[in-house]
Amino acid sequence: MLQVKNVSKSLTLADHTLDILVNVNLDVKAGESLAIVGKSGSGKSTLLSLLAGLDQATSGQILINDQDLSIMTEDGRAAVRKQHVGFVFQNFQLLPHLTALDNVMLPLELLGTKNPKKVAAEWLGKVGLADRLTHQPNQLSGGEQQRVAIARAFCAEPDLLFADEPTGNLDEHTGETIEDLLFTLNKELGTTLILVTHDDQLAKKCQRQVHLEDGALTENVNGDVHKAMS
Amino acid sequence: MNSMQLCILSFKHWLNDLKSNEKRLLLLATLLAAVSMAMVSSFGDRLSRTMKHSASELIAGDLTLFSSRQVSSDFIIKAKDLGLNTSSALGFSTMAYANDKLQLVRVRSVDEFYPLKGYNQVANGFSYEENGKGVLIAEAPKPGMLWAEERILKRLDASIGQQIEIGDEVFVVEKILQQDADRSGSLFSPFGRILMSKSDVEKTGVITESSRIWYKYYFTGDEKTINEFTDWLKPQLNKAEKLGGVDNQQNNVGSALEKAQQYLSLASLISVLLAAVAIALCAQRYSERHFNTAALLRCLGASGAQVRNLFILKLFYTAMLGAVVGSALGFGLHYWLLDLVADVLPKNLMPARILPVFISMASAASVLMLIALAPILNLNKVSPARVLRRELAPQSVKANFFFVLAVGIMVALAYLLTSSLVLSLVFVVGLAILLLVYGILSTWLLKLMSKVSRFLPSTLQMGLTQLNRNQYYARSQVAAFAFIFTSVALIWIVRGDLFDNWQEQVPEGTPNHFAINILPDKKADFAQALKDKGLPATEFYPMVRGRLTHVNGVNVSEIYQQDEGPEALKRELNLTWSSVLNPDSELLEGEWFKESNEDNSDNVKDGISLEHRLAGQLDVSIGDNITFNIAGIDVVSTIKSIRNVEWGNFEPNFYVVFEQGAINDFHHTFINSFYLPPTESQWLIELNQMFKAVTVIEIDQILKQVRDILSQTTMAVEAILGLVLICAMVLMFATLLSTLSLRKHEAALYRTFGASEAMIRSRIRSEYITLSIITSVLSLVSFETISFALYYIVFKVSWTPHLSLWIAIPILSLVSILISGNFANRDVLKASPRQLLQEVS
Repeated sequence: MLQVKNVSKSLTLADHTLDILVNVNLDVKAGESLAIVGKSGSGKSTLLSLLAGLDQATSGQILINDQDLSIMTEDGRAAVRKQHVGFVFQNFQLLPHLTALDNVMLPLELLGTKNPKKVAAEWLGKVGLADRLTHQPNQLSGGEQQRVAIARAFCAEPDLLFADEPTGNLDEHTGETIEDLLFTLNKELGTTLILVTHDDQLAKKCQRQVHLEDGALTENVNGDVHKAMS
Repeated sequence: MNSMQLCILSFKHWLNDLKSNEKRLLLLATLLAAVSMAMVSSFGDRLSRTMKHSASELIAGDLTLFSSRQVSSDFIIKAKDLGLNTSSALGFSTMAYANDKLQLVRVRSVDEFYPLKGYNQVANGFSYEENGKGVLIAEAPKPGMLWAEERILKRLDASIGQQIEIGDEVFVVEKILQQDADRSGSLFSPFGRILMSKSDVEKTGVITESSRIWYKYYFTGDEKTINEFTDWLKPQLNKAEKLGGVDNQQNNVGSALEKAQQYLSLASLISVLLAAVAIALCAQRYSERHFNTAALLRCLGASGAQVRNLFILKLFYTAMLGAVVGSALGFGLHYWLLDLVADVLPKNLMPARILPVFISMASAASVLMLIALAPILNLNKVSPARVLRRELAPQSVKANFFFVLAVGIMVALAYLLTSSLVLSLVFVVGLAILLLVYGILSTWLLKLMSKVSRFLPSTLQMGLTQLNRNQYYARSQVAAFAFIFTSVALIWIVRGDLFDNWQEQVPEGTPNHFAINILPDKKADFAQALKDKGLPATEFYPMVRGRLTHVNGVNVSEIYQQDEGPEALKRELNLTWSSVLNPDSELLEGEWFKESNEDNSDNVKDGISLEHRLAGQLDVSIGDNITFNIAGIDVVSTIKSIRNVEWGNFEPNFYVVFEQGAINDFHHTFINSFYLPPTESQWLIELNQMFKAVTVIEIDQILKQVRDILSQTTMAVEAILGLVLICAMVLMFATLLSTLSLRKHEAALYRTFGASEAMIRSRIRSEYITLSIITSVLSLVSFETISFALYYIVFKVSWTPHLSLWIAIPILSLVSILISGNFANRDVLKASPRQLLQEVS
């Protein structure tokens, strides 16, 4: 599903080059769930943006469903995201001027799905917000906003779901509910889940965990730490 | 996603967006630009068409053809074929006879269709009699009847119902002619005019082959057909045939309305410029606020083109709503504007046209689209990675192209409103330079104030610190506020000058009567009569009749073919002499006559001062000789000066003024003007009995008409000033909103760290007070500089500082910035720190 080959990302500053990621390799199979853990500033968000095609690597290749993102234009990568990728963010990223229903309809409309309103309403029902369709984000609690974001992420039935600290802005209880919802839906749809978190408990709910430190990736397999290679 | 789906999606987003302040202000600014343009252009369009139409009433048709010979019948046949209405007149001078008295008269004989436009003003008695009040009738005298001017009847001792002989025919005086529908010809001609039926001319037998006669043909029809006929006719005319159209040059009423219309156009332009600056500010902030939306859409897979098109479509919907609703509102409001001046407008006001509304609509929409497009296109460049890292801002697109387009459309708009390319360029380029200068000067002022800050009150010190922290925003706010106050101050003083100018045109006590034919031996008695009545005796101008015959020794008949040349050559001129230059006249070339030494008998007194337009037509200059034939004697004169004459000042004016002593010996009469209160009009009968030879011409009605127009156009001017103020307020809010998120962020942090609401309020207040001081200084400097340039270069009058505005602008600036600032920041002050932090995150 996702292949990362010798990916590096560096920034050219005034007097030196800053290496954020160095020769990262990763292979995630369809239906797998993977947690990327690491300290703040370890490059987790940079890695996630590269994997999802939101940014371009300095070198190396990233393939989603065998489509090489590194040779694509921004619009080409956008088309891949539209077809195959879903997102859940720490700060929900709902459009404040749209209702819950309109927010969920957004990816469906971009995809040109027929009857997006019906599909979006069904998904809001699945996440327990059937009675909140016309509410705007500022009328919803943090947990409810993240449910809307989850409904938006799953409604287009993506092959690959990226979640960036999905419970980072929520209290423990709400966070657990959201985690359950995320993993349940992921299992139901057989989506490949890549999750960035610094929460070890959440990471352990994933089938695999990789650790990012000093720009390099290591994988924890049955308690042993390996360099994350395919 | 196909185009239709994109349209629907963008429309949905646009509807939801309408709740945001920036979107509302964008919409409001576009709407106001459209209101202003549609209101003023619809008003102007109808007014100018009506004025043209009214002016055509003064020449009794839309088009006239004048000739000294009968014109080809083909011309009339063609006019009729095209569906034009036609009428014709035959004019000649002859002697009228009654009661053993003879009088030279000018006769206009007309057909039954005369006048095609306008009215003859006639009365059934002398002006001092009860039935002497004039009525307007659109008909011609019937055969056997004639309508004569009062002065003819007085000289012939005749009155209504009596008979007057012209040639072999006897006519009955049916009415007194006060004003002919065709006003061409001089009010002060020494011979009166008679109007009679053309079918009677042959019976009089006064027309022979050698008679000096003229023919005049009148045509009316719709503008297109008139133009078509004119195009067809022009190439076929010979030198003796002259086309005449609407000429409104010497009409006081027209000139007052024209000035009002120019002012309305300028004020409208200022309101559009204010709206345009507000649009630019709002669009910038609107764009910044939508970086996240654009990033999310990119993240969810929307292509760059889709994001770009989505935002352009949203902008388009705003433009359409603002432009359509604004133009419709403006169109409605033009009726209100017309209503304000309804009493002075002609009753047959031209109907409204849809074209100015469409032009306003397209212009307002274009202003928004072009000005807001550059910041909106920034959204296309937002990186999708911004969903994870907020600090990623897009690189600005190259806005030069859009800037040039926006400036282009502003110039086009300015041209549309002012009809002057130079003025339009000066306005728009001037605005750009002004905003740049404000930016630079505000930085200097901030630096200067910071250097001396320790001597300033603590409020200003705090305000300076705040402004120095965000210099970019400080500069843009100062520039926008200074622009607002400078524009409003300029509009205010120009309005004042306009009103003063109008007041000067017809001040209280402006002469409302002219007295002509005052014989020299009666001059003193006449002056005494006026004095006894308590009426100020104004200057008596001597009048001598003379014909201009030679220019530099060459007979004018050799210079000009028959019927060519200036009108002044075709009739006798009223000549005068004076030792002083009329205060309303302006010397353009040469010098006024020097006081001569009376003892020096060798001193040749032959100097004249010539009106500048006539000098231009004759192609003469200082030192050239002009010969006049006065009572059969040739008088050779030398041009000593050329002067501009204020024809619209309700005083006797002359083409030619002789040096004192040059023509004093010729037979002359005097002309004088005086003011008689309308309630005292009965005294005219007494005056008439005392001075039978003197003719008194009333111009009360003309004066009243001018006064009414001026007072009512004043109201229209006040109305447009109100619109400018609304636009200024919108710009003020747009400016304050542009820093709102920054303020929210700061307030959130201050509140979190324990600052009280009062403290934040005081910080904001100190910033606004400092801002208003800097703004006031810049506004006053720029306002006085621009007004100085306007006075010296445009109005050519002396300039004095406007001290009242030195007090008014700082107060206005402080109060308006504080009030609108408090209103714009009410959320910042009331919201809890958590709410504020949530909003800014």
